[in-house]
Amino acid sequence: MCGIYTTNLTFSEKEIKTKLSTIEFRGPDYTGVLIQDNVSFGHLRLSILDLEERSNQPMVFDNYTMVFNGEIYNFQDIKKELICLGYTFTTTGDSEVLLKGFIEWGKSVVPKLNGMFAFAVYNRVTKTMFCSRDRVGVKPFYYYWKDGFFEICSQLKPISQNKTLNEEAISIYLDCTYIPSPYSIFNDVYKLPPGNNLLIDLNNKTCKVEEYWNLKPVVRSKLSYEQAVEEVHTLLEDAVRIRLQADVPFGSFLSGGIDSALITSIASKISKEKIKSFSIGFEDPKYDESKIAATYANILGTEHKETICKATDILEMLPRLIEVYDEPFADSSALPSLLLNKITKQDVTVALSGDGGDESFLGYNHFDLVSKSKHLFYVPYIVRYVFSKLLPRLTFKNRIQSLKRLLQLKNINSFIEGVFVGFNSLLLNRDLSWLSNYDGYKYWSSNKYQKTADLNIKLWLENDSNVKVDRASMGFSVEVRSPFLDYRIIEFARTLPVSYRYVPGVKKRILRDVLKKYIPEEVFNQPKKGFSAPMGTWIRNELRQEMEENLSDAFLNQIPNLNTPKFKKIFKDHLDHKADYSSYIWRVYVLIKWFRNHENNV
Amino acid sequence: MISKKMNILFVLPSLKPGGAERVVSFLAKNFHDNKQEATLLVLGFKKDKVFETGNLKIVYLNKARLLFSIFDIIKFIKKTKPRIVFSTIVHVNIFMSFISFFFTNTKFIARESSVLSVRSSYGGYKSWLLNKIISRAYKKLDTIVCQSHDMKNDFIKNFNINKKKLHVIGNPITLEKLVSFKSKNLSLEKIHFITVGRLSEEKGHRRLIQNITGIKNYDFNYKIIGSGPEKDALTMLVRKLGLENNVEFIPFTKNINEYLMDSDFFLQGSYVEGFPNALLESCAVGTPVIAYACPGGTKEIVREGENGFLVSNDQEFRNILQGLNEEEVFKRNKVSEYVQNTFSSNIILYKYSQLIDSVINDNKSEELNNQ
Repeated sequence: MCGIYTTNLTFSEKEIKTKLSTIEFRGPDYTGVLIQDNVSFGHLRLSILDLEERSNQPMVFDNYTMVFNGEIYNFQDIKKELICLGYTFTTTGDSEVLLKGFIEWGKSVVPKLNGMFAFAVYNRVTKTMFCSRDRVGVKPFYYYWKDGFFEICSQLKPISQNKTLNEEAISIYLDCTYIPSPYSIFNDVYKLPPGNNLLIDLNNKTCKVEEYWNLKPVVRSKLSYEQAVEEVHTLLEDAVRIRLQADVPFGSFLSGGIDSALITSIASKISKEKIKSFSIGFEDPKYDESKIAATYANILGTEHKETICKATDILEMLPRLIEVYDEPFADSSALPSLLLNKITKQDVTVALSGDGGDESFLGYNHFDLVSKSKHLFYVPYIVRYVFSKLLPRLTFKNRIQSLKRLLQLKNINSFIEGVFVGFNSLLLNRDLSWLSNYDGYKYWSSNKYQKTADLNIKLWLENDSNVKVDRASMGFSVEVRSPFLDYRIIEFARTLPVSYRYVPGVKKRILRDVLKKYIPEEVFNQPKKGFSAPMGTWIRNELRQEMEENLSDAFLNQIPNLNTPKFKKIFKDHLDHKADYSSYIWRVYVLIKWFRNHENNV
Repeated sequence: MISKKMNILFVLPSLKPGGAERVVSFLAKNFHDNKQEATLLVLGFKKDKVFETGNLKIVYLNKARLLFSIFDIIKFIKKTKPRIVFSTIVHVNIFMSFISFFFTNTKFIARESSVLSVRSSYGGYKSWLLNKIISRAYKKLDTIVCQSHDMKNDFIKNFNINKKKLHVIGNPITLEKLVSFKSKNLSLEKIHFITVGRLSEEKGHRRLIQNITGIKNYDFNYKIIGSGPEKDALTMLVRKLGLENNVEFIPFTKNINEYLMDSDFFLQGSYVEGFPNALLESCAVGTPVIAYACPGGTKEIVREGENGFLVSNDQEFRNILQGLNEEEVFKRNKVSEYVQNTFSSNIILYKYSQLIDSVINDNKSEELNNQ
């Protein structure tokens, strides 16, 4: 669990240790560096399983060397298989199992794994490096590759020297608030897409990306609704059970939402010890779910710790944000996430989380939007387009502009994409050709909700949610485990008719019916509040000065492809209480902060 | 098309509405249009004709039963000396196999309509004696065209026919190809179900009606098109289950395609099928199907998740019905795609041409061997 590093560039041990120290928070328990021939390895360990030294990494066996970040939850089953094949084990951890599994099965070991992982195994005899990233990108994997040289790391910072900025990535960021794989903020540095292996051959200097898992065209289940409820429950129980393995103290995040309530309920049932649960609340009641969380805790009998935070507490996380995220990342819930993990670390090292439930079981508010969009698409495109051109040309008149943009959407796919990349843009020139990397959603299903969910999983889950959870947790040396991201659950959920999961007005229908087994319906049937910070208010008040200082013309003009006059108008309108543009303002602010920070380090 | 011109005789009991009749009259007409000397010999009456045959030469024997037409058939074949005799439907096939003895220069091709051993359990061909006759008789034919792999395997396993004599060719789509497909929004409106087929026991209408009683979460309408011996029993069943407002019985009509196009799902309850033509047509016009995976050609038409669902039992059928009230379970043009690419009239005609070519050429090699 931790941070990995490997390269065939020449660095001294000291230099590697310095690189790793910039992301030390990922693994404070042990730093390992190994230089073998012309390939170097580095590893930062956060001890979770088998706390002994024997499980330290880099791990070597025969002519194989491995660095691994993650957890293989079903490692005991794989271990049994290997033992039957004659392997012996000297540790009780999963790292050794992974390495020996690779030695036995090569790349076929990967589909056997149920877990979150990013790892690299080097074979010094064949001079080949095999790397893999888990199916939905829970763990990060960045790599630099050019002219036969590679540098691989769990985060960007250690491999970001002497790199030029990728301007296309900056534009994509300004639309999405994150940079999606395979891009990174730097040229020649990439993210390995989830569900893919990376094969590097140092003999012929080749680098190949190979897919081993992806979402597939939907094959509908023939279970009745009641049978499906039972199956979801069974799968979740197993997903939670295998994630409860740890040699360190354990906890669970608990918000007012259904997902974390369900995970915590199941964990409480399965665990022999009392589960510690954690939630944070906000002073602003519009954002506060802590009372509901407390009620859950009461019913489930967990050892509950609630922290109410003020604006200042969250804002204190700001420097940490810049430190821990090595690329611009503007999901503002990153701040409360950091705080939640900071608090959690005081008591436990591993925590269960409910993320992933909304993707698989259709819980986001934007599914309602998709539902409403059908009215728009009853009218043929040509008619809508012509009508939109006839609308009065009033620049910046918001309602008209939004309406125009919606009318000009070609079809439902454009709408679905718009949900994620935004219908409005801060860019001078918007080029969405990068989205072709994510075209799969168009072909896996013809149902618009499933399509939206699929794009949600491939684009947003990997690049926003998982990044947020990884950085927030690693930033405080906590390991977060998400049962809903168990690939069996993701696959099974997709086979269920949409109506089992979502009917207009009721989101996550089937999860609610499972949760009823643990918590009475009246308690949890509340509208979703989400885990966000009251950014709009803060920008106008506590953060105003900070904003005005950083969002000056001098800095804004440095951003490529930014529609500066448009942005300045947006900023002004927000400060004047004319509208809430916090998302746009925050993303530009984060970009500038990141850039300034980056320049200081260079 | 077939490499050289030859005289082909197609034999049908009648031109009444029926799958076999549709396919054979279609083949005859197309071979004729492609400059073959094709003739259609119909044992029954001209007035019963429902299929379009252009200017294909048709000879009617005007006899009510095969039994009465035996001598006429033999006389006709003797006179016209066809190179190939193509028959369909089991009793005609058996007859042809016996007279093939007398016509050594003629090749006899039989197209079978049903998976015989399963079909026999639904009334009709019950006796073991008849099965023995089929076994003996079919061996004398030069080639047997099966409509599905299940049928072919049935012949190999239960009737001991040499697999070299068996070819699998599905039925062609004889509708005009649709250029565009209607798109419908399911979840808020009524869902329209349809079944087309003879109202006889093996078609399984009974269990389909039982299945739809389980639908609670949406409004629906079910059109059952066809006629047959089960009509009264089914009407009573509908009444008993209180479904009169949802179920409509419509006698066989020429406008089936209109009904198919306006439907959301085609339901198939058959216990056995030769090759479900109505189901094929449903897919061709973009209406997906929910069918039992019975012996026969159904499994070769329905592709799970692409143009329909295949279920193994009643419970699965009911479960599928439960989850249908959502939009775009299938896209109509995608539903049509596979069948258009596999069973289009061009493709099937080509397969039959190839078959006839190979049957003729076999003869040539025999002649060479005998010299």
